[in-house]
Amino acid sequence: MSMEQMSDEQLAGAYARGDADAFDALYARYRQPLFGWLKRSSGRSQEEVEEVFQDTWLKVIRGMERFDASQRFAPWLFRIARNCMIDRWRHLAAVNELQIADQDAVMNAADGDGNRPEARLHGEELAARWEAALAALPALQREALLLKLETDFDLDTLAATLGAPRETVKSRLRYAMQRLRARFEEIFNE
Amino acid sequence: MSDELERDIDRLRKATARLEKPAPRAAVDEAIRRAARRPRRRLAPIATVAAGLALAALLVPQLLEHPSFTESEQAAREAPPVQTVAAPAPPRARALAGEERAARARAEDRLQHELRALANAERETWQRRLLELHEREPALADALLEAYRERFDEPDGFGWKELEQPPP
Repeated sequence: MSMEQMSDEQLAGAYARGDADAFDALYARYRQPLFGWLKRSSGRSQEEVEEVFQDTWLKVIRGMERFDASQRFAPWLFRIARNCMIDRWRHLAAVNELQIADQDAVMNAADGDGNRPEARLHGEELAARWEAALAALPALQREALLLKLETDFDLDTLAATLGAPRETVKSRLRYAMQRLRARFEEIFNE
Repeated sequence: MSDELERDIDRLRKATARLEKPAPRAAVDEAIRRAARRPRRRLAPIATVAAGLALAALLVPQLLEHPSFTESEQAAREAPPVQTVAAPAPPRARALAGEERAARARAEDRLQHELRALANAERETWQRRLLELHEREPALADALLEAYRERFDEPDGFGWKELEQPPP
């Protein structure tokens, strides 16, 4: 069986038994989703996020021998990353507070011409509006929504990864989508 | 999750899929892959652990019976209770303690910063950086080496011993 055909858990097991190529395959699978989630949910600089990202993988490398192969790898990885993020920035609420000062400017930018219903979503305009809309979401809603977008975990897995009850995570997703629906009418009314 | 919510999230995913995705820089990728390929410290084989436990089971009852243990246990029972509640520190002492904590936190931040820089650097770069640091701040360089060994499980596998030799 080639590396591409192996499940995450099989790759983790192979790495724990000493196959370094298995790690490369796992890393290639989760490099971008994990980094994207950390970057966008924290709103921190490239350098700061790289530090958390690196800490996360070093913990994964050290912990792989203890990884329980009956569990799924991806939620374990994202849980470690979340713990690293909280350790680093203490708590997401604190991250949110830090961003409050910038939110008015962000909201004003997002509510400019680019938010008119007739405006089309293309390239840089979409990128700017998307970043602004994410920055304006409360941290816990943002983290849940981005995790769903990056991984497509089901609700139970999202809840286990985020350490919150299933219904709470569902509410966070619903509230986040309500806010985004108002900002991106053209996506949802097509 | 409701179908409508799933559908909306899916639309959002498709609409944002073509946006540029944040990614780590190549140096970070390289540092992580390098760390993954370093030999890891193995746990003690089960047989060794079992032998250790068996030996402990054999020796502990004998130690408990030993006169030095029973005498010290008797002395501990007869000793007056130890005062564990410290008297409140005067304001100046508290301020000094606060400054000391802040200084320790700054030193720890500095150490972590240097450690990350070291982890991301190329071999030649970190060797030079460490040598420079050792000339300016030997205590920090020593702490850094110690932290690096502990964090990356590398007693000597990547050549740090070269740094402990006097320069030619």
